[in-house]
Amino acid sequence: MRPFTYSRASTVDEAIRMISQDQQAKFLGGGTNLIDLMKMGVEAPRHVG
Amino acid sequence: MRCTLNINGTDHPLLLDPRVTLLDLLREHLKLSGTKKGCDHGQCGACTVLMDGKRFNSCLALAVVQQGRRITTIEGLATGEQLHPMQAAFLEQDGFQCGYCTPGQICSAVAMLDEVRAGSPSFVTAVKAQQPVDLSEHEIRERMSGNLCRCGAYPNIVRAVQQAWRKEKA
Repeated sequence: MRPFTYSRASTVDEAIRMISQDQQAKFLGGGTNLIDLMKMGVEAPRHVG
Repeated sequence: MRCTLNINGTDHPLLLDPRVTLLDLLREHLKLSGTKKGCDHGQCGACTVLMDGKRFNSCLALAVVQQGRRITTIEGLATGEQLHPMQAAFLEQDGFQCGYCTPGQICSAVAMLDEVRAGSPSFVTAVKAQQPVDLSEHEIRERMSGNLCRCGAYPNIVRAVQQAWRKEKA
Protein backbone atom coordinates (compact mmCIF):
# COMPACT_ATOMS: atom_id res chain seq x y z
CA MET A 1 0.00 0.00 0.00
CA ARG A 2 1.28 3.48 -0.88
CA PRO A 3 1.93 5.78 2.10
CA PHE A 4 -0.77 8.30 2.98
CA THR A 5 -1.65 10.66 5.79
CA TYR A 6 -4.81 10.34 7.85
CA SER A 7 -6.87 12.96 9.62
CA ARG A 8 -10.27 12.86 11.22
CA ALA A 9 -12.62 15.76 10.50
CA SER A 10 -14.80 16.79 13.40
CA THR A 11 -17.26 18.84 11.36
CA VAL A 12 -18.80 18.60 7.88
CA ASP A 13 -17.11 21.89 6.89
CA GLU A 14 -13.74 20.54 7.92
CA ALA A 15 -14.32 17.35 5.91
CA ILE A 16 -15.27 19.33 2.79
CA ARG A 17 -12.20 21.56 3.21
CA MET A 18 -10.00 18.49 3.52
CA ILE A 19 -11.34 16.86 0.35
CA SER A 20 -11.38 20.07 -1.72
CA GLN A 21 -7.84 21.17 -0.83
CA ASP A 22 -6.20 18.07 -2.22
CA GLN A 23 -7.32 16.32 -5.39
CA GLN A 24 -5.66 13.15 -4.17
CA ALA A 25 -7.57 13.07 -0.89
CA LYS A 26 -10.27 10.45 -0.34
CA PHE A 27 -13.05 9.91 2.15
CA LEU A 28 -12.54 6.64 3.98
CA GLY A 29 -16.14 6.00 5.06
CA GLY A 30 -16.34 2.49 6.46
CA GLY A 31 -13.18 1.70 4.53
CA THR A 32 -14.20 -1.76 3.36
CA ASN A 33 -14.07 -0.76 -0.30
CA LEU A 34 -11.27 1.83 -0.34
CA ILE A 35 -8.80 -0.15 1.82
CA ASP A 36 -9.23 -3.22 -0.38
CA LEU A 37 -8.54 -1.13 -3.50
CA MET A 38 -5.56 0.53 -1.81
CA LYS A 39 -4.09 -2.88 -0.95
CA MET A 40 -4.36 -3.86 -4.61
CA GLY A 41 -2.79 -0.58 -5.72
CA VAL A 42 -5.92 0.42 -7.65
CA GLU A 43 -6.34 3.46 -5.40
CA ALA A 44 -3.40 5.40 -3.98
CA PRO A 45 -4.73 8.51 -2.22
CA ARG A 46 -2.22 10.89 -0.69
CA HIS A 47 -4.55 11.74 2.14
CA VAL A 48 -7.40 9.80 3.75
CA GLY A 49 -9.96 11.24 6.13
CA MET B 1 0.85 8.61 14.04
CA ARG B 2 0.01 8.41 17.75
CA CYS B 3 -3.23 6.83 18.90
CA THR B 4 -4.67 4.89 21.80
CA LEU B 5 -6.77 1.82 21.11
CA ASN B 6 -8.96 0.01 23.61
CA ILE B 7 -8.58 -3.71 23.01
CA ASN B 8 -10.22 -6.28 25.28
CA GLY B 9 -10.69 -3.64 27.96
CA THR B 10 -7.09 -2.39 27.98
CA ASP B 11 -5.91 0.92 26.53
CA HIS B 12 -2.87 0.53 24.28
CA PRO B 13 -0.91 3.72 23.48
CA LEU B 14 0.56 3.16 20.00
CA LEU B 15 2.76 4.81 17.39
CA LEU B 16 1.57 3.53 14.02
CA ASP B 17 1.93 3.98 10.28
CA PRO B 18 -1.62 4.86 9.05
CA ARG B 19 -1.38 1.90 6.64
CA VAL B 20 -1.42 -0.68 9.45
CA THR B 21 -4.70 -2.60 9.45
CA LEU B 22 -6.36 -3.53 12.70
CA LEU B 23 -5.69 -7.19 11.85
CA ASP B 24 -1.93 -6.66 11.46
CA LEU B 25 -1.85 -4.53 14.61
CA LEU B 26 -3.50 -7.30 16.61
CA ARG B 27 -1.34 -10.11 15.24
CA GLU B 28 2.05 -8.52 14.56
CA HIS B 29 2.24 -5.64 17.06
CA LEU B 30 0.19 -6.85 20.03
CA LYS B 31 0.80 -10.59 19.52
CA LEU B 32 -2.93 -11.31 19.80
CA SER B 33 -2.72 -14.07 17.21
CA GLY B 34 -6.19 -15.49 17.95
CA THR B 35 -7.61 -13.32 15.17
CA LYS B 36 -6.70 -15.02 11.88
CA LYS B 37 -5.67 -13.69 8.49
CA GLY B 38 -7.47 -15.59 5.75
CA CYS B 39 -7.98 -13.76 2.47
CA ASP B 40 -7.00 -10.26 3.73
CA HIS B 41 -9.67 -8.88 1.38
CA GLY B 42 -12.83 -9.00 3.45
CA GLN B 43 -14.24 -12.07 1.78
CA CYS B 44 -13.65 -14.91 4.24
CA GLY B 45 -14.47 -13.48 7.68
CA ALA B 46 -11.55 -15.21 9.47
CA CYS B 47 -10.42 -11.84 10.85
CA THR B 48 -13.81 -10.88 12.31
CA VAL B 49 -13.58 -8.91 15.57
CA LEU B 50 -16.12 -6.87 17.52
CA MET B 51 -16.08 -3.09 17.44
CA ASP B 52 -18.41 -1.61 20.04
CA GLY B 53 -20.09 -5.03 19.97
CA LYS B 54 -20.63 -5.08 16.19
CA ARG B 55 -18.84 -7.56 13.92
CA PHE B 56 -16.28 -6.19 11.50
CA ASN B 57 -13.57 -7.56 9.22
CA SER B 58 -10.37 -6.31 10.87
CA CYS B 59 -8.39 -6.74 7.61
CA LEU B 60 -10.39 -3.87 6.10
CA ALA B 61 -10.07 -1.53 9.07
CA LEU B 62 -7.20 0.89 9.53
CA ALA B 63 -5.94 0.67 13.09
CA VAL B 64 -5.51 4.45 13.62
CA VAL B 65 -9.16 5.03 12.72
CA GLN B 66 -10.41 2.87 15.59
CA GLN B 67 -9.49 5.25 18.41
CA GLY B 68 -12.46 5.68 20.73
CA ARG B 69 -13.99 2.30 19.88
CA ARG B 70 -14.11 -0.75 22.14
CA ILE B 71 -12.44 -3.60 20.27
CA THR B 72 -13.04 -7.18 21.40
CA THR B 73 -11.12 -10.11 19.94
CA ILE B 74 -11.52 -13.84 20.56
CA GLU B 75 -9.01 -13.43 23.42
CA GLY B 76 -11.37 -11.01 25.14
CA LEU B 77 -14.58 -13.05 25.06
CA ALA B 78 -13.92 -15.38 28.00
CA THR B 79 -14.07 -14.17 31.60
CA GLY B 80 -10.96 -15.61 33.23
CA GLU B 81 -11.24 -19.38 32.88
CA GLN B 82 -14.98 -19.12 32.16
CA LEU B 83 -15.58 -19.52 28.43
CA HIS B 84 -18.09 -17.30 26.66
CA PRO B 85 -21.30 -19.33 26.06
CA MET B 86 -20.60 -19.24 22.31
CA GLN B 87 -17.08 -20.65 22.82
CA ALA B 88 -18.49 -23.40 25.06
CA ALA B 89 -21.16 -24.20 22.45
CA PHE B 90 -18.57 -24.53 19.65
CA LEU B 91 -16.60 -26.97 21.84
CA GLU B 92 -19.65 -29.00 22.82
CA GLN B 93 -21.05 -29.19 19.27
CA ASP B 94 -17.63 -29.73 17.67
CA GLY B 95 -18.18 -26.65 15.50
CA PHE B 96 -14.84 -26.86 13.70
CA GLN B 97 -12.30 -29.11 12.07
CA CYS B 98 -8.98 -27.29 11.56
CA GLY B 99 -10.08 -24.34 13.68
CA TYR B 100 -8.64 -21.58 11.50
CA CYS B 101 -11.96 -19.85 10.85
CA THR B 102 -13.24 -20.50 14.39
CA PRO B 103 -12.23 -17.23 16.15
CA GLY B 104 -13.95 -15.28 13.37
CA GLN B 105 -16.96 -17.61 13.42
CA ILE B 106 -17.36 -17.20 17.19
CA CYS B 107 -16.97 -13.40 17.20
CA SER B 108 -19.36 -13.17 14.27
CA ALA B 109 -21.92 -15.45 15.94
CA VAL B 110 -21.82 -13.42 19.18
CA ALA B 111 -22.60 -10.20 17.32
CA MET B 112 -25.11 -11.99 15.06
CA LEU B 113 -27.22 -13.01 18.08
CA ASP B 114 -27.15 -9.38 19.24
CA GLU B 115 -28.46 -8.37 15.80
CA VAL B 116 -31.24 -10.96 16.05
CA ARG B 117 -32.13 -9.71 19.53
CA ALA B 118 -32.31 -6.18 18.15
CA GLY B 119 -34.75 -7.37 15.46
CA SER B 120 -32.37 -6.87 12.54
CA PRO B 121 -33.88 -8.31 9.32
CA SER B 122 -32.13 -10.76 7.00
CA PHE B 123 -32.47 -11.91 3.40
CA VAL B 124 -34.21 -15.07 4.57
CA THR B 125 -36.97 -13.62 6.69
CA ALA B 126 -38.37 -10.16 6.70
CA VAL B 127 -38.77 -9.26 10.34
CA LYS B 128 -42.22 -8.11 11.23
CA ALA B 129 -42.49 -5.52 13.96
CA GLN B 130 -42.64 -6.98 17.49
CA GLN B 131 -42.08 -10.50 16.20
CA PRO B 132 -38.99 -12.35 17.40
CA VAL B 133 -36.80 -13.91 14.69
CA ASP B 134 -37.14 -17.67 14.31
CA LEU B 135 -33.49 -18.68 14.24
CA SER B 136 -33.82 -21.62 11.85
CA GLU B 137 -30.85 -23.37 10.23
CA HIS B 138 -31.53 -21.45 7.01
CA GLU B 139 -31.60 -18.19 8.94
CA ILE B 140 -28.31 -18.93 10.74
CA ARG B 141 -26.59 -19.95 7.50
CA GLU B 142 -27.67 -16.70 5.87
CA ARG B 143 -26.70 -14.53 8.81
CA MET B 144 -23.31 -16.28 9.13
CA SER B 145 -22.66 -16.24 5.36
CA GLY B 146 -19.79 -13.76 5.77
CA ASN B 147 -17.71 -16.41 7.54
CA LEU B 148 -16.38 -19.16 5.32
CA CYS B 149 -15.18 -22.55 6.54
CA ARG B 150 -13.04 -24.47 4.06
CA CYS B 151 -13.36 -27.66 6.12
CA GLY B 152 -17.12 -27.44 5.65
CA ALA B 153 -17.92 -27.68 9.36
CA TYR B 154 -21.11 -25.71 8.76
CA PRO B 155 -23.60 -28.29 10.16
CA ASN B 156 -21.92 -28.22 13.58
CA ILE B 157 -21.33 -24.45 13.46
CA VAL B 158 -25.10 -24.07 13.00
CA ARG B 159 -25.72 -26.45 15.92
CA ALA B 160 -23.32 -24.49 18.12
CA VAL B 161 -25.06 -21.20 17.34
CA GLN B 162 -28.45 -22.82 17.99
CA GLN B 163 -27.20 -24.16 21.33
CA ALA B 164 -25.89 -20.75 22.43
CA TRP B 165 -29.18 -19.15 21.37
CA ARG B 166 -31.30 -21.74 23.20
CA LYS B 167 -29.22 -21.52 26.38
CA GLU B 168 -29.50 -17.79 26.38
CA LYS B 169 -33.28 -17.93 26.03
CA ALA B 170 -33.66 -20.66 28.68
